[in-house]
Amino acid sequence: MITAADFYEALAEGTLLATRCADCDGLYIPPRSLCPACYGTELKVEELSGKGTVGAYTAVAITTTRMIEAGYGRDNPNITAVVDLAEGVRISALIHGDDITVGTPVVFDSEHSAEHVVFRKDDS
Amino acid sequence: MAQRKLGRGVAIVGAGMSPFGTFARMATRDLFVEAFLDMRGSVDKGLDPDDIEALYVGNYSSDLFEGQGHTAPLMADWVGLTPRPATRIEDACASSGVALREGIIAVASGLYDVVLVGGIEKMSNLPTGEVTDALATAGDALYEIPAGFTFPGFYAAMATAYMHRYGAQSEHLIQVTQKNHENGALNPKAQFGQRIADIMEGKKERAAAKGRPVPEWESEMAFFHDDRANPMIAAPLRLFDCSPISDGAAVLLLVSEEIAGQFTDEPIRVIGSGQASGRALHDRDTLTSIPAAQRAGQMAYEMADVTPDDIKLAEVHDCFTIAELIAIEDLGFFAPGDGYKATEDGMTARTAPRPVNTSGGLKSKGHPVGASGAGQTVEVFKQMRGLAGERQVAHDVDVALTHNVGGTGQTCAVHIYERGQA
Ligand SMILES: [Zn+2]
Repeated sequence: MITAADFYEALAEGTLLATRCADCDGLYIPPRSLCPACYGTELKVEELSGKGTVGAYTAVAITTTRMIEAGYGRDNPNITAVVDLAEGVRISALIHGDDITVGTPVVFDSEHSAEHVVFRKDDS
Repeated sequence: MAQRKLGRGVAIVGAGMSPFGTFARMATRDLFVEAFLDMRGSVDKGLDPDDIEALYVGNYSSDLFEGQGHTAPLMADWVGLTPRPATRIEDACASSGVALREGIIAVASGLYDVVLVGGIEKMSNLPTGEVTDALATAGDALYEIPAGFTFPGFYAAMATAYMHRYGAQSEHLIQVTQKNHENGALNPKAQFGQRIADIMEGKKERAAAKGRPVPEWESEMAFFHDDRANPMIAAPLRLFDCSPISDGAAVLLLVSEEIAGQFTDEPIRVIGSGQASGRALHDRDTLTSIPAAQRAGQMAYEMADVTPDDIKLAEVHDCFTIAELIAIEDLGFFAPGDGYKATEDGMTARTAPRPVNTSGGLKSKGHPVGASGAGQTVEVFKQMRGLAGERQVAHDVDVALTHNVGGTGQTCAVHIYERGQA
């Protein structure tokens, strides 16, 4: 079974972990052990490219204790987004850097991802 | 989806609520007692509490808000129902919409003839920071919250997707607030029952009284754009895009239709009930609508055998301005992307043929999360029976709808009501 512990362990090592269903080809991030589309249980680990675009975003001024402890807050809102990944799936991510909008290309920031998934603007 | 019908007819014959607001001296049980007494007073031919057979009560998190778990038997006790079965339902902000559905199912099954349904929440004990943390737990604690989402943050993100896709502006969103405060100003139980113009006036008066510079705004829109008066919570949503932190309770009395005449000559029949679950925001096909709401609505319409055009009044889940725009589209009142235009054109106003949130909605009336769903039904009960006082709509409301969302749409409960003859 693959769990969030595996996902965050891989994340800390710079990998964005997904699983793909051997039966119906469904791709899942966060990774799952049971395919909700076909109930298949043979899911194989797959590493994603880390490329995507911003699907929806916000700049959170009144934020969680967890984010405040990470240095965010009213004067430094955390930018958080739903990222549309190149593989056709989505993930919630913290965005480093500003000046983003819906559609902005972003890329997985493996250096800064450990406790949370971080993406940054893709300037390439 | 297969069309489902209730095993037998269920009617609402009593509905009441505490005022919504912040009440430092009142605990959840006190609010519940107040709502219970208000409900009892609404039963035309009287209620003998001994006839109540079970309680279903919606509550999101008295555990986090009050340090109180296991709330249902406690509520039962404080209104004299011990030892009858008491069950707590938790589906975030949809807790009491779902409790209503569970109560309906219990009566329709034939097991009970008389059931009490309630909703409770006491949020104001905690400072805003801890309320932010508590509400965020309605999202995915493993994969959404670590990314920095808050509850307003989720809806803010949906707002950016909606605005980008359909061309809506912040000014369109805030028109929901303006309308709902117009309505809430006519609701004596509303937490912020004031028109925006009156709120602006109040701020000026308080500044003057304290000897501070008196703020000036050229218009309501200028007020909404003022970072001091209307600070950013989660961009693009500002304070006045958000429902408040609230305390409150609401209580409904459900009976089998066969015995409704013992309680009133004007029962409100439940003709449609739908409920659906949904995934985390990042696991949905769409960011501009709520699939669980669409599905719950469809289930309720099919059970009731009515269409959106038959609905004469709706209370929808406007926890944030964007949520009302998405709600009125998900329910089929307007096409996707037309909700903001319809709002701008006054098509959801109290004087429109199908008004939305005549109570003031969660925005103005208040949003004690676990009580909000049952609170919506209280408004419908009053409007359908012509007892909504100053805010009573002019047209006959023979069919009405409530729409109660949990989280960002991981739960939705929709109910449709018809005024019956006992
Ligand atoms: Zn599969």
